Amino acid sequence: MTSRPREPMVAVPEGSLVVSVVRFCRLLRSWGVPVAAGASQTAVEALREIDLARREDFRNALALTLVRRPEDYPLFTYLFNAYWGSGATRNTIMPGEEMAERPADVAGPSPRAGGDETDGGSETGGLRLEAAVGIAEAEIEGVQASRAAVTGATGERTARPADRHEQAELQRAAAALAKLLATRPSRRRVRDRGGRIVDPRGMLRESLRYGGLPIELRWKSRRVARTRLLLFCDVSRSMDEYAQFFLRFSAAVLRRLWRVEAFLFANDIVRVGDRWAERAWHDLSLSVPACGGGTQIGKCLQRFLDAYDVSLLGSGTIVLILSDGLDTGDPTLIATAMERLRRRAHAVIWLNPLLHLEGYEPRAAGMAAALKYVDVFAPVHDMRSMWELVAVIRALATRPRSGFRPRGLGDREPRARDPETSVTDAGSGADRGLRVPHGKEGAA
Amino acid sequence: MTVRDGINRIEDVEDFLARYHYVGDREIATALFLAIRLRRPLLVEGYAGVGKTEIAKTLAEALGTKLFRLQCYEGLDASAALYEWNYAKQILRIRMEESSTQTALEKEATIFSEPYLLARPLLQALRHPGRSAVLLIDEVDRADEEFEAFLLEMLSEYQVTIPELGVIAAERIPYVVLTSNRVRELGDALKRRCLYLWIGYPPLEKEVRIIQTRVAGIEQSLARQIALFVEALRELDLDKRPGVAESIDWGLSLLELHQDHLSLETARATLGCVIKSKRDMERVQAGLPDLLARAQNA
Repeated sequence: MTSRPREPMVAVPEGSLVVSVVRFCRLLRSWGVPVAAGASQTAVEALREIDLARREDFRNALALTLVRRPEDYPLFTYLFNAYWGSGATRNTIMPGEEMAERPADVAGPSPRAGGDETDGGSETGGLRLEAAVGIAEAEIEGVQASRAAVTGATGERTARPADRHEQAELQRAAAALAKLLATRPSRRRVRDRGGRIVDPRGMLRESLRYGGLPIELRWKSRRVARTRLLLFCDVSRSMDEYAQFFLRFSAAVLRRLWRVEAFLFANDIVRVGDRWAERAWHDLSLSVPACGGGTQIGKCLQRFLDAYDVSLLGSGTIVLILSDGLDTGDPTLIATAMERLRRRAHAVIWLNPLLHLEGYEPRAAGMAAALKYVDVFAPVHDMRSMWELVAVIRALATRPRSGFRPRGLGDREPRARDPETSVTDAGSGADRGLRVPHGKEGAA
Repeated sequence: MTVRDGINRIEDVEDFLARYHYVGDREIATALFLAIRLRRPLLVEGYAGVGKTEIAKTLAEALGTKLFRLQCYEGLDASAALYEWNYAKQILRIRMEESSTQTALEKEATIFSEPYLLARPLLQALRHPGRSAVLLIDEVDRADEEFEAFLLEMLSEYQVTIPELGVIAAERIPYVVLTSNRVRELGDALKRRCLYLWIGYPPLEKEVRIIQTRVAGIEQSLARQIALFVEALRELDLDKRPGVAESIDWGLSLLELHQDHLSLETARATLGCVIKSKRDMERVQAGLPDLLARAQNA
C-alpha cells in the first residue's frame, strides 16, 4: 500500500471525522449490521480520497467499505440518513456529535420499509431518529446501548429475526447439516490430485508418456456424492410460529449448499428460487397464494410432482417436509403423492412441530395417510430438536441407498393397490429398519 | 504509478467508463475509483448477468493493461490457479542430459528454472511487467473454502513462494476484481479485505441506455420496450430471472430479425433469449399478451 494521504477537500477536522466514522460503525453494529473491526479505518481512508462535499460519494464510500451484505443496505441507508443528516437541506456532512442538537424534523424511512428509498422521505413521519441519537449518545457515554431499549423506543422492530445467540446456533446447526449433506462418500473412486488412494492403473498409463518411467504418483479418492435437499415448508397459519424458525434454518442451509430447493405451501405451492437469501420470511409467506386458507398438502405435493418430478427427485435427494399435517384436502391425495415422493427420493423426513406436545398422536387423516411413506418422523420446535435432526440426517445420508431401501416388486406398482394392502406395506417398511420409530424420536 | 495518478477524481473513472461503453452509475464509478486509489481488491456481487465481469474488462481496457482472468470452480486448487512445473518437459530434459557430465545438482537447477514453470493466472498477474495488471477472479463463490484461504494469503502479501525458485513478489500490485453470484456466502476474512459492491438490476432508464450502448443500431423505442418487458418479467415469480445480459441478447436477436418493435409473434418466437427454464416459459407464454401490452403502453 503506497496510498498517499491527500487533504480532504472540505475542511472537516481529521480527528472529528475519524471519531464520527467510528461512532457510525458502532451504530451500525448495534443495529445488527456486521461491521468488521478494521472497516472503520478503511472507511476513513476512502473518505480521504473523495470530495466530502458530495453527499452521494460520501455515502457510497461508506457503503463500499462498511456494508458486506446486500440485505443490509436499507438499514444502512436509514441509519446513514439519521446519523449524517438526511441531506435534503444541506450539502455538507454533519459529524455525529451535532445530531443531538439538530431539530427533529428529519425523518428517515422506517428501517424495515424496503430498500428503494435512498433519501429520507419525510412523509414516513414516525421518527426513529431519536432512537439512533439515543444509541449514539449512549455510546459516547460509554454505555452499552441495550437492544431491548431500542426495541422499546421504536416499537417497530418486532420483525427482527431471532436474537444473536439463537442465530449463531442456527448457523452452526445449518453448517453441520450442510457439511454432512455435501460430503457423503460414494463407492466410486475418481482421480483426484489431493486424494489419498494411490491409483496404480493411472500411474502405469501415465508412465507411457515417459517411456515407462513412473514419474508421478497418481491419486484417487472416493467420489463425493452430493445429496440434494428438498425443503417443503407449510406456511399456513397454524404453522406460523414454527415455520419462521424452520425457514431461518433453511435459509442458513441454503447459503452453504448449492443443491437445496425450497418450496412453500399452504393451499398452493411456490418455489423459492434464488431469492431466498434476500427476502425476509414475511415476504415469502405472502407470496404463497391465499396463505391463511386451509392447507391442502396432497394437492400441493401433487403439483410439485407434476412440475419437478424428473428434474429434482432422484436417488440423491432427501426430502424434508415441515408441516403439522392438519389438512383440509382429501387424504388419499396425500397418500398417492407421498407414495410417489418416497419412491423417487432417497429418504423422506417429516418434521411435525406438534410432536413434542404431550400426548400428541398423528391421528389427523392426512398425517396418518402420509406417515407410512415417511422414513423419519420427528419433532422440530427448538434448537435441541434441530440438532437431533442433524444427527438423524447424518445416519441417513451416510448409509448407501441400496442398504437403506431395498426396492421390492411391491414398490413398483403401489398405486394399483387398495388402501388395505398399503397398510401392510407400511408394516414391511418398518421391517426394513429404516424408519425411526416416532415414539422414540418424540421422546429423544 | 503513472496510471494511478491519471485517476484523481471519481469523474475520471466515469469518463473512462463512458468511453469504453460501460453504462455505470456513480456508485460503480466510486467503487472503481476507491479500488484504484486504495489498492484494495473489489468484490462485486449481484445477480447473474448484471455486468459484474464486464467491470473488470472495462477497467483493464481503460487502464491500457492486461486482464488476467481466473474462472473459479469447485475443486480449483493452487496448481491450477498459481503455477505448476512442466513435468513432461522436465523429464525430456533429464533424458537428454542422461549422458552428460553435469552433476545432479546442476541438472536440478536446470529443470527447476524459469523455462520449466507453467504460470497460471495469479502468477501471471503478479509477474506482469510494466503497468499493473487487472486480475479478475470470477465467481469466487464457486471455489471451495480452502481456495478462499489461499486467495486471502495472496491478496495480503501479493507474493508467492515457489520452493525451488524462491519468493516471487509482484513488481506492480495488480488491481484485483472478484465477482460472486452469492451461491455461497464468502468468508468474513475475504470480505473484510475487499471493498464491497452490490449490483442490482438497473433502473429502467439505465437499462435502456445499456441496451442502446451494447446493441449498435437499435431503435430507442425498441430498447425501451425490451427494458420494460424484462422489468415486468423480473417482477414475476420466475425461477431464473433475466439479467441485463439477457436483455442485450434479446436486442441483438431482434435486430438480426430486422424487427423495430416487439410484436406478439416475434416476442413469442424469441422469448428463449430471456427465459431459460421450461416452467418459466409456460408461465410467461400464458401471460404474454398482458406483459406485452404493459411494455407497449408504458
